[in-house]
Amino acid sequence: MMGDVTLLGNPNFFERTKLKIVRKIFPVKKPEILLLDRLEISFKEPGVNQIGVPSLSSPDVTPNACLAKPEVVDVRPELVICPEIESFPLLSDFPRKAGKLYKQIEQEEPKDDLFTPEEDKNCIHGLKKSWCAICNEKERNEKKRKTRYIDIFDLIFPILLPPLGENFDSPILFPTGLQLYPFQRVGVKFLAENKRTLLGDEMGLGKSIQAIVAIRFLFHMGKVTNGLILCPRSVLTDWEKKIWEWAPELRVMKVRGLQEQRKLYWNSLAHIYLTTYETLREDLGGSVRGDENGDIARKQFDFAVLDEIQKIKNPGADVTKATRQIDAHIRWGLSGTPLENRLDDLISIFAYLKPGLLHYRDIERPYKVKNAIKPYFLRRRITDVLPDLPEKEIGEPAWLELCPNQRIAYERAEQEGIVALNEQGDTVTVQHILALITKLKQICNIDPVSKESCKLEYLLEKLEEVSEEGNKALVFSQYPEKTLKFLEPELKRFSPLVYHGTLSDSKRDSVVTKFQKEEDNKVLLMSVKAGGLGLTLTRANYVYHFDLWWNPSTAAQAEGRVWRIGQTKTVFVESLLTKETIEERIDDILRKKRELFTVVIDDLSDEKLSKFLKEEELFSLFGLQKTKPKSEVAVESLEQISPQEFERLIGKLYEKIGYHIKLTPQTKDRGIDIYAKRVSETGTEYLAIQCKHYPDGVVGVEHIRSLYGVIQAQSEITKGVLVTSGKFSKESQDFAKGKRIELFDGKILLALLRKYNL
Amino acid sequence: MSSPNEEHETLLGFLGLYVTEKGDGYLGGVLISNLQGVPQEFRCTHTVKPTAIQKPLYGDALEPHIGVELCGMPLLQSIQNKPSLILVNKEFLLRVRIESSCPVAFVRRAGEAVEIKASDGSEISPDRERVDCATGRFQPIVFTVHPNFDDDKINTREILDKIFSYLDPLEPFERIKKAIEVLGKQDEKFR
Repeated sequence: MMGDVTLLGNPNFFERTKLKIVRKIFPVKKPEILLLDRLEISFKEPGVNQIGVPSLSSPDVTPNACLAKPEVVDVRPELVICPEIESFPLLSDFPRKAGKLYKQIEQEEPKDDLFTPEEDKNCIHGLKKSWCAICNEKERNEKKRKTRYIDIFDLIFPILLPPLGENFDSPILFPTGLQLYPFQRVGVKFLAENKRTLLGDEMGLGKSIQAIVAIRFLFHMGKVTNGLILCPRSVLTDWEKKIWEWAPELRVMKVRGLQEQRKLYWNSLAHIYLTTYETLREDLGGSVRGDENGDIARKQFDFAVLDEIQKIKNPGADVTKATRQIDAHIRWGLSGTPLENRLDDLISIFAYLKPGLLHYRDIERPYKVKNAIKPYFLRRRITDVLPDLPEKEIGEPAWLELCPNQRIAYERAEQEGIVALNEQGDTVTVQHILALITKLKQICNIDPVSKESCKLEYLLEKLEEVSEEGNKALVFSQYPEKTLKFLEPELKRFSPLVYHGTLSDSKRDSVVTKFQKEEDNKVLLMSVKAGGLGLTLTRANYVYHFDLWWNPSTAAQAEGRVWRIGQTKTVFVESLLTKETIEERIDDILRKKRELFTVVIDDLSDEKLSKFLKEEELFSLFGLQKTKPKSEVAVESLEQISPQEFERLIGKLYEKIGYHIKLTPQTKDRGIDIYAKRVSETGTEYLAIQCKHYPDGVVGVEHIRSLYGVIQAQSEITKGVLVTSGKFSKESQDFAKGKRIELFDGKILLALLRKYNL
Repeated sequence: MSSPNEEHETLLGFLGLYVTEKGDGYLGGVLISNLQGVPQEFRCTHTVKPTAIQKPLYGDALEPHIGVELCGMPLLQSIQNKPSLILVNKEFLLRVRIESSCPVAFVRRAGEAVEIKASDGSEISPDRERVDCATGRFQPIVFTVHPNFDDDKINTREILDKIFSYLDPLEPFERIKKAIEVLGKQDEKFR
């Protein structure tokens, strides 16, 4: 201890000790950073070293320090507690690399390795698999299917491609030989610059091509990386081909086949998922039923293109419900006839394209609808944008006399039908009338007993001329079983092809290709429903409607297969109709509808949209009149009727409009008085109707809230309707805005009652 | 004048260093294209994320170190199509020239802020070469080569003169940037 005191009093000792410690620690050779946390020195018994200085323990240094060789000093290491030294790694680890070679490496297709020697056994066709063309083709397709999956670097490939053009007005680079018409460039720009749009160009103007090019732009700009295209089944392959032609760099996943396959496809990477409305309905069936676990389709995309978007016009249809599950920030609808005959179709379509833009209460205000959709709607007509396209000449219908036996069969069927309708009295419905019409129309096409057909005789003569001139014809009918099957053998000399709904996808494609490319097949027999949408059949320039579809726009769609871009000859359209039959009576109605169609589609007039075919019109076809039940309430006595009578009246009103109705019990009605259901070709519409008979009163918001609660809880309900003989408070009206609720006050109700003769 | 076959084989490389969307990391990307700008090959690195301590310790040397040592050189070694010219989007990436067999040039738009800072008052400093677009379709560019490879100027100018009428040499860097952004959305390794 004494020694310590002595040393402490010696300044040289301190200086030397400090120097040795410093030299012991520095210089640092390794590049790590060293931090001295603490340096503690303790003194012990003095010893004698070589230079006669009492020893001092040196600090320990971690191995990382890598010190220079220290001066030899006799120190007692254990006497100094070493500082902790922390090290930080350098940025020296190379990051992993990823990427892809895009350059096509030409490889010879392996010829003999489709089957390994072990696999190459006798197949079910009685040959070695490698010798069997069927097995070879099957295996090749299977290998192709397995290798078409893409990776993340395929996904970014379009972004790495050079820009298509500096802007939409400049020429756009396309694969050789392809060019857009100026009006199509306008359409591409319109689509690419608007996230929510409806392209309503007349059929034949290349809506799908405009959409593909716009999509291609967005991919190249990096604005989208994947999307969904929904289309009718008949044009699925056509879409695939067009994408391949116009945007070959985009990888398409066509989602078809068995459920397990589809599941795989939905979960694979692709730029575009292409499928039909029906497949989507099936693959999102879980969500439609309220159980998301049952879904196999993906729902999130950057864009969604809905071809023939009128498929989702019915809000109650499962197809619509499934489609509305698709979340995409870009939503485009394509349709040549978006409105068909009703503004509510348009409202339903925009409910997906741009929710909140239109409301069901606007149905009586076409001008409002027209103004609301203006920024999001583009429609051009063929005659305006393609003045050089050959003309379409719709000839007057060929009015034919039924053959003798055909006439007898027709008269008998009509008389029996009318007798049966009369016997049913008040219970006769629209469905009974429609069934009779179908039966009679089929006899007008051909008498199933005598096989006589005045239309066939006429058609044969016409087809002779068509064929001799080197032209081809399409023959449309809505009865594939009763008419097309009969026509096929009768038209054998023209090598007819048949296209109808029951054909497989591949068969449909081969029929279209064969008709377009081969000379022998002069006639294509088509079902209106299967072949009316999207197909390009410009090799034909004659169209014969063997019978007429109810909806004139459907007939126009069918003609649009021929009268479109690519047609080089004048198109002739002719309908074959029979005199003094139900067809003549229906034609009168159709003519009126055609006038309405022009008005609504091309200029949303404020003309009131009537129902497509009114009940009285149908009954009048057979000289029948729907008798007015005695119990019906006169409009003037509305104020005197009881709440129960009021409910029944509203029920009758909805029946007149075309719904099947069900009145609920007075108790346990959960606020709903009537459920109404209407089935159309695209699905079912369910209404929950609440009646409030307040002749001089005001319906408060609490009733609307209650109705809203009910429809929210029941997903199958398309919309809620509250009908009152009085008025609605402003709060009620505000609450209903933007919701699936329709309000009919006394004023509207009276107008409806008058309209439907109640 | 090169023969059509030679022209067919001439490839361009675009090497860039990019900062992640959040600004916390770097990715290197190289695009090999033909003279029309059509991609032949694309490689990129996973994200390099320097720590909060590494950033100040490396200081100004951080980006060059990541760009050249960690990303640039390994990427150029990994490409299978060897380009005739490599264009880079950062001046420090010129250092990859040391291990490259072809010229490397740093390109940027003429008159950009970097040049305004030039102390001699002239827009184009002596080591920078200006290239004008003959068709006027694109704004002029300037390029710089590695100071130890002065001959690169001639080779670079020859190629840039050839392509500049129809391909903006700066544009492919935008493509790489967008592609990296999309990769980041798909896979966190590129985020």
